[in-house]
Amino acid sequence: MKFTVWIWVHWQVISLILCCIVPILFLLVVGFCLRFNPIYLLSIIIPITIIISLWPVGQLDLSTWLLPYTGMLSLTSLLLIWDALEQYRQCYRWQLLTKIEQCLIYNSSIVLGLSVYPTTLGLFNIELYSLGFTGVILPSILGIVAGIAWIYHAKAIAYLLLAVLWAWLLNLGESQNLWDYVLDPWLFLYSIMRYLSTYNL
Amino acid sequence: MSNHLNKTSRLEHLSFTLALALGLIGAWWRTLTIPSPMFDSSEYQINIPSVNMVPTPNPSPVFIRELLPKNAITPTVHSPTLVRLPNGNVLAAWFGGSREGAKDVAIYASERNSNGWSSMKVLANRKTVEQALQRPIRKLGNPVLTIDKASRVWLFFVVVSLGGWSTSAVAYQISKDNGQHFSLPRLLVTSPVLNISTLVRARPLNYQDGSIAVPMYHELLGKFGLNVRIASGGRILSIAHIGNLRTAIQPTIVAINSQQAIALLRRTGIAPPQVLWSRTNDGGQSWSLPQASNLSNPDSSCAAIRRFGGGILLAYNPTKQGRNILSLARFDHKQRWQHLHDLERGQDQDEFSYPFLISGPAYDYTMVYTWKRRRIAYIHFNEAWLQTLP
Repeated sequence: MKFTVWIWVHWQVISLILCCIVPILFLLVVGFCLRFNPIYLLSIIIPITIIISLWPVGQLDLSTWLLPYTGMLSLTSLLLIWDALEQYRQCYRWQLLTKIEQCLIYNSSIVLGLSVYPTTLGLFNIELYSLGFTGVILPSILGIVAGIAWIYHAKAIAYLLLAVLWAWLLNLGESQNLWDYVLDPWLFLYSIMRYLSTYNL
Repeated sequence: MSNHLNKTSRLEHLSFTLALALGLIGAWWRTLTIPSPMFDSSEYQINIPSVNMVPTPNPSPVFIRELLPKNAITPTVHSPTLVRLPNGNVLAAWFGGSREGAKDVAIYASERNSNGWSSMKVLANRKTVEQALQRPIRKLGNPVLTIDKASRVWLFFVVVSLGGWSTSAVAYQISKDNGQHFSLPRLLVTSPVLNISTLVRARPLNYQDGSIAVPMYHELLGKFGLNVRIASGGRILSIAHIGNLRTAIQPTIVAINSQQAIALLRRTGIAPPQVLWSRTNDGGQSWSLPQASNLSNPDSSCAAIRRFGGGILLAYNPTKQGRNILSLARFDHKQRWQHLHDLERGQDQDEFSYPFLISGPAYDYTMVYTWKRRRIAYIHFNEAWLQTLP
């Protein structure tokens, strides 16, 4: 496994732990924690999550052991996970994505997922996933969308797409396909569930 | 202060534009430097072998059949493959263990030289693959050997991390010393859905630019063949569906010329049990809808190769049910498949299956197949022997 992939895999597990588990713990002990400077709290929590991600499971560690279930999360998912850390946002007032940007990402994920996944499962004779290996079509579309996002001050999306393009070019992830840096099945499923719950469908 | 902000903004704007432009130029450059896929002449003019050997036709009929070495730790063996090495030896590989899909299954290999078969050695096992790929591996299977234009031996095989065969991925190793030592396994990401449900079985073909066409197939929900073009460095260049029948797997591809090829596929699931075939006219980038041939096949893997002097030679199970007969057929100039000869004919419960066929420099053919799931059988014959068949 390449070093960049190893970092990616562990980073996604750390992010998931921080996103899903730590906030619950945070809420449970919030009264206690408020007495402390949040930076002290984070200085404890982050090393713990790193240790958990590296916890040995057989000849692997937890992050790599989970890989068949999580897959390699896309950069988009990683951005959304970090944006979802509401509790830390209260501490540091950071905001990676505006509500409009979030909405754009989730809706785009549904459209892209509905376009790509059925073709890879053989529902059609075309294979849109193959466009992500080589060819100018997909990178060009990505570049145009990044340019439009930049012009309309959706900087997070613009930087995300720029990072996707360069991560793919430098082959930083496990996949050699551009789609896998933009989209993953968990993001697609979450986007659908979010859409359905938003509109009470 | 305002000037400073404007300056920062301009710098950010310039940096973003520059990074995006460079990225797009990089993406375009990556694409423009890839030649269009054209099958190597050694694939369709098979008297020009891909390895440097002078073709010398043997006028005397030759037919040799033998069983590969047996080992007590692999009571079950299946899915053999082989490759002719530049030194003239043949390297065969297969998977074996206590039973198919068991945790002790490993990929084994044996080399045949003038003295016979070497003792078998392990090319990959579950533990070493798990360590190299850094993910849980439940089982291994379907090894496929091939040799590229740089005389490097590639070993592709199927790995399963969760579920069954239909949730597999494909890994590969490369040897630069005629299969004596292989690199650590690397994973091919061929599917966006957790990289599951891609398998490999049949012989890959070389393209003129050094890339290889690896026939693969997908089994989850839809079942269909894939032609995966892989650059010499291991980068996937394209994936094309071989038709969209959704019931056709395990394609074996035969090049007709630099652009045209025929894929023969195993029909799975619904009847009628026949060998299917599909055609490409653009080097494997697009394929016709698979059609049924006039050959019976009981949902079993087949192997095909370009025949000396034209036509195609096919090894397959010619039954409607069961794999107890293994035969040869030819695709003649009348565009019809014609049964040639039964290589094996056993009891109903016997199995002679999963043939893997290659050609040699002396107008000869070499084949390995599963023999009753207990042994791997090896057959060597030549064109002169085929000419003697009625």
